[in-house]
Amino acid sequence: MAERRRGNSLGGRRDRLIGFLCEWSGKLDHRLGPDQELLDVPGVKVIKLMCSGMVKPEWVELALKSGAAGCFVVGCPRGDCHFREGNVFINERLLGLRPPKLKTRDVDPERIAVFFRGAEEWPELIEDIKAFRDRCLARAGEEPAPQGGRQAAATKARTAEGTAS
Amino acid sequence: MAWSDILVVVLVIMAVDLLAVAVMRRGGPPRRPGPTPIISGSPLSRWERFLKRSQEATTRVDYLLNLLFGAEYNFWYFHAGLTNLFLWFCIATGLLVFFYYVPSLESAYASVEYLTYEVPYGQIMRGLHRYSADGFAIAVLLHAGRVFFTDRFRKFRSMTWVSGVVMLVFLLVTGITGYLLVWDQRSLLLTTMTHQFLAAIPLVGSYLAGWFIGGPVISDTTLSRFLFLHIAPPFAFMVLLWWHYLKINRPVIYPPAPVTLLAAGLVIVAAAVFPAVSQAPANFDAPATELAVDWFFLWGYWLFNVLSPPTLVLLAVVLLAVLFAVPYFPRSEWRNVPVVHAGRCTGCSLCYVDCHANAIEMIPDPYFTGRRKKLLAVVYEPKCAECGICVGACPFSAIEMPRLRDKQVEEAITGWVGATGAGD
Ligand code: SF4
Ligand code: SF4
Repeated sequence: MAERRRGNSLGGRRDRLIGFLCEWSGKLDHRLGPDQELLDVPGVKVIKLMCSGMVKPEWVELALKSGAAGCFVVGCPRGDCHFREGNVFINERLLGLRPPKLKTRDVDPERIAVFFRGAEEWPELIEDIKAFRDRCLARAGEEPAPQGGRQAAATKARTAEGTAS
Repeated sequence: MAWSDILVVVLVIMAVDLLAVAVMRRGGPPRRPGPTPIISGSPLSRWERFLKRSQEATTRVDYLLNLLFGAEYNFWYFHAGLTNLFLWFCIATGLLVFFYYVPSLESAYASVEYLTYEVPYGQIMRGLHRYSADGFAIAVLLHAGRVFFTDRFRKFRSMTWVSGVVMLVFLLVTGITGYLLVWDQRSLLLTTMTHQFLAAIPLVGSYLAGWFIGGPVISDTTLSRFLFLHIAPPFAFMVLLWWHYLKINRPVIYPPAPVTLLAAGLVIVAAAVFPAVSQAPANFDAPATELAVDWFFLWGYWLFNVLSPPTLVLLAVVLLAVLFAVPYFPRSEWRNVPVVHAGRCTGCSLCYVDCHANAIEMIPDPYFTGRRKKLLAVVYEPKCAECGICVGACPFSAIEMPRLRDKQVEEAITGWVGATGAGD
């Protein structure tokens, strides 16, 4: 299974995901283990920030380049960001519509997601994350184990899907 | 006013000031941020835990409304824009009504009746004005309630709340004087009650009461005074709204078109189904003793049933003081204001554009020694929301949150995924 598969050229684990969670959106505190990992979905670490708008696209790039199967951001529902526009900004940055933009040349955009979920929508959020993880692992499983460095892995991802450019 | 009165007023103001300063200082200087793991937020006090829980509960209501309307058209998200929209409805319809109004004891009532029954669409016009005002009051309640229960009224937003409370007072003045202008039995009773209320204010009461009715007794001046009190606050709103928006970058001041149309539709339907009508004309010989209360603007008058005017004055003062003080308690010492690395800042202004609280200024870089001018971002601490959006906006990693450094986040990422970062 893809879940057992390990690492790319950087030694990263292919079954792990990184999630950035804004402290006002989907309330997951009570579902987190000691290492801030999500208890309901294996392999997902949550990094809590003040606002989803604080996420730097380069952190998302770093997570994927380091070998994470996927990376997601959770922000407040559209139209209701606690800090007014943070959720919209990070979404636009990851879509390449607002600077600083995500460099899609090096990463597979299919393994990035933004969820807009309010604090009390955490059960729905967990379902979203589960589905996203399955998608990412399936996608990572399609790629042959990377051999020749980060760029080679990224190139393979591109040729396989023809999405990123 | 005697000198002793003035002295008492000055002493009271000084005492309140000293009290306010003492309360503000209570927290002492902010603590230095210590080394912290990846955290966000300070330990919460009981009051803050309540706000956190109410914020979470509100998102559940939002979720249900979003299922019905979709997030784009959820009126609950446009509480501020709706308020502004209804204000403009009031102003627009008020202008039409104004052209027919004659502010004199003899003609005021007759002019309103003429508008209602003689002027084509007059009844609808009057209804639109009346129900826009009710809509405005509902929207204000919705707006204030939502910002309170979602914890969006304190810290960097405290001044916005305070300006909102000032506008609330102006709104009540406009709303109440609207009922006085009609000059029916209700207007007469309301005038008497308001006069009693104002007269009960210590020291300045008799002056205020006299000013309110434009002299020692009710006369033609009274109605022109009411007209002024009805029209001046909306003009003041233009300045007060500027104050209200001062700390907001890109305020959302109107709801989207479908919500606007829905609001307009509701006002039109209300005006058609429940026509606004006057009571019997004001009669000094047989004044009314009972009042039909409009709960949006006249709820305070119901209290006349149970409280005396001086107690009501005290109650109003306490209520106002509480409303003004709400955003300042409790004060949190926990701060996480971003710091700019002057050497790395290129002056690109991206953080300045994205800061929603207008907390970033771009200044000429004082450290830059090159020939061409360069800008530097500086964060104005009291305005800062500590949200970190500027960190996400900076492509040069020149701005960082002291309690959540970029390096900490990067280590958390690579630590979890298990990469070393070598082999690149
Ligand atoms: S953290 Fe940055 S973006 Fe947020 S209010 Fe402060 S200066 Fe503005
Ligand atoms: S985004 Fe970064 S580099 Fe640009 S002005 Fe702000 S701090 Fe300076």
